[in-house]
Amino acid sequence: MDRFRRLFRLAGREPSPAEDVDAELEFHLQMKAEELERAGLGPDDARREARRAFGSRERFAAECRSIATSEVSLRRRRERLAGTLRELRLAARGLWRSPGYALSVALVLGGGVGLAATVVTLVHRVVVRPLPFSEPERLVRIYSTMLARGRERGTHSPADLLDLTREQRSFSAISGWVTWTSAAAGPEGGEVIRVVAATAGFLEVFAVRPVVGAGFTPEERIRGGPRALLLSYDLWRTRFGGDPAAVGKSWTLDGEPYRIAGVLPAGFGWPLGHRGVVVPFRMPENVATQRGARYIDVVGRLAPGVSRDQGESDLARIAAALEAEYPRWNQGYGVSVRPLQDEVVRGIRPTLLLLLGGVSLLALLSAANVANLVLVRAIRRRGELAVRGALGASRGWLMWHAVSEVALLALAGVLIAVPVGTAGIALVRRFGPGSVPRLDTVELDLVALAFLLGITVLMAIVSAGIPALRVARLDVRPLLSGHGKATIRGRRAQRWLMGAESAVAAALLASAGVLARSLDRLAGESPGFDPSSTLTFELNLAPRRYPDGDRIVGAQRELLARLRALPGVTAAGLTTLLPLAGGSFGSTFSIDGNPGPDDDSQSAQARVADAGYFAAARIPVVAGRGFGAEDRRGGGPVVLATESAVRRFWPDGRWVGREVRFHARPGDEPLRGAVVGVVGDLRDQYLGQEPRPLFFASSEHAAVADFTVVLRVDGNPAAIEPAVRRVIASFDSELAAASVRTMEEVVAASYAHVRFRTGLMGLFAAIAALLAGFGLYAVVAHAVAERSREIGLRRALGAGEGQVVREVVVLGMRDVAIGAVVGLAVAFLIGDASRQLLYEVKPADPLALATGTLLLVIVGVIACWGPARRAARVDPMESLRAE
Amino acid sequence: MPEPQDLVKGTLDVLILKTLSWEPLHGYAVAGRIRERTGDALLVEEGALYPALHRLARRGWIAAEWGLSENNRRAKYYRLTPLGRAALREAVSDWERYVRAVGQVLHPSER
Repeated sequence: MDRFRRLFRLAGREPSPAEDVDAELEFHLQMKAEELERAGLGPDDARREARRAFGSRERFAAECRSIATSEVSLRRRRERLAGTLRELRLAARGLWRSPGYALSVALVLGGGVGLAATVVTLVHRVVVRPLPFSEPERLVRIYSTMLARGRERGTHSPADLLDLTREQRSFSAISGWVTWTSAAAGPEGGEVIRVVAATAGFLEVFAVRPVVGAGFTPEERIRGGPRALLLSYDLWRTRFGGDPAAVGKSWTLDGEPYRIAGVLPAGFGWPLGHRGVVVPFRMPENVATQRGARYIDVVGRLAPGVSRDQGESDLARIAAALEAEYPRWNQGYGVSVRPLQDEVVRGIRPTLLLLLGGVSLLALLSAANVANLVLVRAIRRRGELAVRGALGASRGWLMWHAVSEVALLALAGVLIAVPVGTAGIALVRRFGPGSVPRLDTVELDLVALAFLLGITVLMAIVSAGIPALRVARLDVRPLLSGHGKATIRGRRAQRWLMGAESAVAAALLASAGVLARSLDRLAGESPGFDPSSTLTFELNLAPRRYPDGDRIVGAQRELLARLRALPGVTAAGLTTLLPLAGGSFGSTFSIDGNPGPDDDSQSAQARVADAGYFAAARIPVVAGRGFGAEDRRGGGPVVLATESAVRRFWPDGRWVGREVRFHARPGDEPLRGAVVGVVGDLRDQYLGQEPRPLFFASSEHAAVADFTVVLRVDGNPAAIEPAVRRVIASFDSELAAASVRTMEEVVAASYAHVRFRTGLMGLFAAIAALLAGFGLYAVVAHAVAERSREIGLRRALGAGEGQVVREVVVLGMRDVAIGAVVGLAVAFLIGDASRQLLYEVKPADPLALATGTLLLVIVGVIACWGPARRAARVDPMESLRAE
Repeated sequence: MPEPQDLVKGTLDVLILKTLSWEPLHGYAVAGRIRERTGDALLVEEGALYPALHRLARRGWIAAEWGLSENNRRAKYYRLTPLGRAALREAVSDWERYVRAVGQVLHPSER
């Protein structure tokens, strides 16, 4: 047996556990055989007897072998675990000793990933995720269309809605709604609540039921009946403490008490928003005769098995029948049916996609940054790795050693990314424009976070692992004595990474610059009126109290006079359809009896306004006169035209006294009036539009029961709101102001989404520039440290300080320059793809590109400066001595 | 109550521990001692000793080491560890309790 083991030892290895077991059992058998021989048996008999007494040798040997191997593998596993933990502890100590490095990587990793997670969450929750209703693919928006005028997404009249609801055969529910904002007073202070007035069937369309309470009674749905509302879940929880006993209590909105009829389920969201209520839509009394007043939005739920096209043809059939029956109101009107989700996110999608692109670039940048930092560190620690390799560490262990630090930093990155992402979401929810739909349901998406983190960490591991593997094969001695050069090919990877970082930074800077120019141009446009110091609100005179035009006009005169009398109010007026507040109404018209061509080229926007409106909104009267005291009810109607209307229809300038005939309001009889003056153009849809022709009829002649009041105020317009409400209440206790806002708020809201995306892209660009600068600093500092001997020698040979500084800066900026060129090209592509978001600015706007490039160059030079100075100060004598 | 085979295995383990509690021995010597004391009652097949020894070693109750036997052969010696010593104490008291319990049934004492 000993020969056996000796043979193994000669072969240079230890015997395996199996061989050990065999040896042990063989020893037993030999001893037994010898004992039996001593007792008198012959050698063969002894051997046989020994084997018999032993039992099945193979069986016992196999058992022992399996015990041995299981023990060995157990031990090996324990060792591996202990080794891993030991490496982690070492890594932690190493990071503790280099806090700058550790903090940088963790912050860049966590910050970059957190930001990216914010935007990815936004896109996912707002655009991608289906609406939170059962079978959301069956929910559709039903629009009225007038294809001849190119109108595809119009609203409906109440009468049309009733007909559609009654005659349709393909929907399980159809409902319409209008919306406004109301003020809710309360012990916690006033609050603006969104009110959705919806027709019966609204809850059925969304397939929800109140979670508390029974909903509206039939009396509450009728005009003149008691008022009731349904609370959104969030309102119920925050304002009423989630108390079921709140149902049945009363809550006052705009001075009117409403019974709380129930609570809507959580997550209802669109169109309510987080803090909203649903009230029954009360059909106007003249609904049958007011077919032309189209102001209701409509949604529907397709019946099971019915496709969207089937639903659309069903409704088109009804629309055609209505056209035939009421040619006066419904001529040319059709319907279109579109998926609700698409419609809800339509406006915001391009913005969110742009932001997604921007933040993806930023995430890439932070990944490259982290990779670079890790690479630099791996190169610095190559000596350590080489020694370990020489001492026999396997490739697996070397990789783990190099990577364990990154693993810990990844953990730290996660700890930072989560609060960054959460804060980002909170900020967006707080400051995001109201035009971002479903914002109330946005919460941090942990899956996205994990995914992004995974990608970044992968990059970091690759950049740390590759040099580690290379090091394992290096000749150790020169490295150990400190003379070895960095034979690791880290330099080329660094340059690529740096180039990539610069490209991204340049792309973001240029894109942000283009967007900023666009925003600047947009904000600089005048809307055609002066929005400062003005308060606006909507009023709706109940037909029951003001049944005819005389009474309406009388009420308006009286009310405006009282409002003008308030201290601080310098001017007051009223109009339909406040500019930039959404909403539009166009009418065809005839000039001097001439109805014009068959198409709609002779059409313009129609509004009604009183004499005081133009002064209150500071819309200039550029020619002729405005509405005045001489234009009273009963007299001849007069009309004001905007400049672009005059330019379009009377290019010869002969507009005075021309007679136009048009519908001043939807559903009204056409009004015939003489043009007596020209007012300044208005941008009524959005700030960046080409002003379209507008005609104003006087409120004296075209009496309007629902209108918007504009008050010009000395001082802070919001401060007079309580006084205004008192005046209105004392004039008519049933009347209340709705959607109270300052004109500035209206204008700001109209392009809030533009500011939002420009601001965010600017933020990304700034972060990108900082990161790129930081990355450049790390890379150049490292390069200088590696080559310090070389630099010293060159200084010894006569190179001046300035020369060294210049060379270092050039060295650093070389990759930045190449990257920047690529980045500018990318910026151009981004700008081209988002052309629709730009106003009066080309995607390759030279000023923006130049500014972006300049910023990047400045950041780069600053980043290189420190290491460059350090390089210049390398003492040549020291270097010579060290040789 | 443990299974009959486990009982035998468990008993063998206790015997091995007790045997090694006096001095370290190699497997053959342990077999010899046990056979001396118990005859062939418990160790019908001598080879059954070895899986028991290895299991006890894996448990950490005995420790194994290759050394030289009395006739200068390489043999695997086992010794009791402190852990094993404690296990032995517990096993002995368990065994005595068991014997007492069975004894009550077989030879009920007068009350």
